[in-house]
Amino acid sequence: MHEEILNESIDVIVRYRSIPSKNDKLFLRQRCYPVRFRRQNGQEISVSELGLSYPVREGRSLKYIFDVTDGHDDYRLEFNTDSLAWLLTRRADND
Amino acid sequence: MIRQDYNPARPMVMHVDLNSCFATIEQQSRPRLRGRPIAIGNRRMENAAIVTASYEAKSRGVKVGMRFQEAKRLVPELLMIETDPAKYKYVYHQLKQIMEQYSSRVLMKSIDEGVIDFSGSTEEMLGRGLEAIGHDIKRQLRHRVGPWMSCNVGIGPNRFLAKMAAGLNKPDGLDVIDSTNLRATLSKLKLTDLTGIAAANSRRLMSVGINTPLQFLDADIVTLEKMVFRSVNGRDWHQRLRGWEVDDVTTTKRQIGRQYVLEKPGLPRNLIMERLHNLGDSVGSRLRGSGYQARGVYVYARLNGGAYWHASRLSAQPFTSSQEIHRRVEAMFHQAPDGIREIGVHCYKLSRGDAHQLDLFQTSADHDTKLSGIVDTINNVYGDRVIHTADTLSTDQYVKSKIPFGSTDFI
Repeated sequence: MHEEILNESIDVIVRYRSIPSKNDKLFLRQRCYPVRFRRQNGQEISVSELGLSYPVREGRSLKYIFDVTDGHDDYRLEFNTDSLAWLLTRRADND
Repeated sequence: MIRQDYNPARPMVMHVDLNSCFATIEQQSRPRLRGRPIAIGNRRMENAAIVTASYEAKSRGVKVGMRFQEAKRLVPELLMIETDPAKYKYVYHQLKQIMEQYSSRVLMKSIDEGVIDFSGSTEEMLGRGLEAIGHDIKRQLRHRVGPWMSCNVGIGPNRFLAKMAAGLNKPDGLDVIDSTNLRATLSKLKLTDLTGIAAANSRRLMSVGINTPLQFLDADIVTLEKMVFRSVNGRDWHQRLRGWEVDDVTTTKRQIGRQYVLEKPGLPRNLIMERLHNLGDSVGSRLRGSGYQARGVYVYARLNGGAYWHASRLSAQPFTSSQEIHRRVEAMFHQAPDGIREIGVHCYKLSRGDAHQLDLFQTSADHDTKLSGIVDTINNVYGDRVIHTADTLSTDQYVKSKIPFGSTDFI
């Protein structure tokens, strides 16, 4: 298995889906799913599955991590809620 | 009161245990790892110990604690994944939130398991049946975290039997042990299958002719108390096996500490001190963050070959500052021998609050306490270790914060 640690700014297309709120099932909240992203070298990658998304706090800043796959490699995308910027921070093949 | 009968009450304790927790979360997170043998370790190195392994790896003989290179001989295609604490903390909080929907009496035992006590729950809640609630918890876990997630659920009249029930059919099992099936269940197990009975306790039991869980269950209290355990533990085991609760005890925190296995043998003493300083700062931060102060510092080193060196120092005045911890560690550690493999720092003699008596001749300690508090405040806003001591600058890539097993205080 080969793993690359990256810090690459990317453009991401996301889809939002309404799901019931955790605290009150009468209300809906939006869950974000990255569906496609473009790397600095122009390569466009389609996300075939979102494995796990979870928030991480760094002090008061909040980031959302999205572990996704294109069906061949695994990628980690990070969305910074302060700067509203997306970063690609990891790529790993599983061979 | 000693009860000789099996607890006949309706089982009201539910134990929920994530299956091969870290490995399953990694497989959920990275779909291409699903169905493949993977091992999780704190470092991706050949000699790193395996913290947990996927069921695909376990079924081929890979065990927790095994070195990766040893496991690789058993399963050549085994993949080593480094622990990712943020991910596991997220799943822990999801599981906790799910469990807390059913009762206010939820106790998380560690990052991957927790107990719900349904005694005192409403008839409406209990009317659903605990097995239905167990299935509901499994469904919610899959819905919230992902389809690969699974957990074992055990239901019993006390914590011990609930945990035993959770271990009967891994993965994704749901079992009940009560007075009606207690003997039948124990008859299928070995002594070491019982939670809390490892090799040493098993030898003690066998030395008096107790070779099976059923013989353990049938042993009289005098044998267990006077001959096997030679303590009140014998009485506790007598009651525990019969389904009576003896484990509902509140424990007090005695120490806060961290340890680190050096990234390579033969590290120069100054680099070891930097790593020790990082650990001491982290322990200080945890100490203050949880509202404790300490009077003692304990430092240890495990040497090549397995021997241990340790030293401790107790003071009259309590302290909380990282500087104070480091001064004490430094003063003791210069006596440590060479050939160090692992280091650790612990603060002990803990008490709550910071209302210590001021020492007329030690004003620097008060400055240190204030300074540590200010550093904590800044780090809480901008992120862990944004401000840290200069000599630990290059240590973060090695001394990473890992998941503590057996405690949920810092999750």
